[in-house]
Amino acid sequence: MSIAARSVACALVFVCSSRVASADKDISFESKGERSTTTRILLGSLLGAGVIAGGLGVYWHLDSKSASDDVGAVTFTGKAWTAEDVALVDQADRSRTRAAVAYGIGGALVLGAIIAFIATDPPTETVVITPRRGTPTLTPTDGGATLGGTWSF
Amino acid sequence: MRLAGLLAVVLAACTPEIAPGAYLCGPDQACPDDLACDGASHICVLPSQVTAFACAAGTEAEPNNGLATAQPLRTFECVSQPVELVGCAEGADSEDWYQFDVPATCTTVGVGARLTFPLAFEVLGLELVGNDGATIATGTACPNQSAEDGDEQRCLEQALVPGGHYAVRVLRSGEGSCDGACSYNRYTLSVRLETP
Repeated sequence: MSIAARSVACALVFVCSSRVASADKDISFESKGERSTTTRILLGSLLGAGVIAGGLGVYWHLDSKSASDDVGAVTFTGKAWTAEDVALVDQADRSRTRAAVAYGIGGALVLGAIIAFIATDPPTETVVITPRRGTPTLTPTDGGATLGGTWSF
Repeated sequence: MRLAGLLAVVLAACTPEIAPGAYLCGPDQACPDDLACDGASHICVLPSQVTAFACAAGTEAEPNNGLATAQPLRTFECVSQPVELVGCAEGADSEDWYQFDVPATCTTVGVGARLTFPLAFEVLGLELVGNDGATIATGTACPNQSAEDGDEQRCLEQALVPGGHYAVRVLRSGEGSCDGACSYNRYTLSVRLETP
């Protein structure tokens, strides 16, 4: 190794070691926690059950509306009031009640899922990394040198 | 709370809206809830608008409760246009009789009779009675009859003997009388002679 090369290598070691020393500060960052599998299953179940109950509510709602439209009349129909009409009114009433119950249960379940989602929100942790002083190494090689360093946390 | 109110409003639209006057009365004066059967028109109306059943003037020709006192229909030809009359049966008047003669000149002849009455009140029966007082034929439900128009119909077709004397009997059956509360009805009777 020539004298000039050695001089350059020494200069590099000096510069790098000063850089590592200047980075001797704590490193901190926010780390988001994760929900447990049980919690995720619970949330999914609540939401799924709420959606299903809401879907049933829609089904009964439409059934009630259909029966109501079939029997409802505001002008003279020319038809007699029959047992089939009575059955349609009963169907409309029955499906309306079912729809209301299903909407109520579905809404409660979805609301419960939202509340549970908020309540089980995992806390955010602050992770601090304290770097130790780095130790530069310089290994002469043929035609130059290898510059390295070791750090610990 | 607002959501529950909105839900109640939306679901309220599923309650059938049935206006007074929209439906004819069904059997036994059946009507939607909150409505009642009007006796005069057999239409479902508000209870405050209900009028009692009454036979219209000229629809009762008593006595006509037997073969001897039967009300004569017009003189028929072998093939005739139908004679149509409006009748009524209420109170103690449980039947009405109508008599007619068959021309002796007919080779083959039959009678066709149709009785139409509101199904809201007591069901009526139709019979063809011979000159000896025996029932020859009984009316049955008419073909192609619609059960939705608020009327019930009985039809009768029977071959007759030329030169014979017959009577058509309209009687209250006891069915559909609202347990006695609507033991009455009005009717339209159509009779004609035809080639069987």
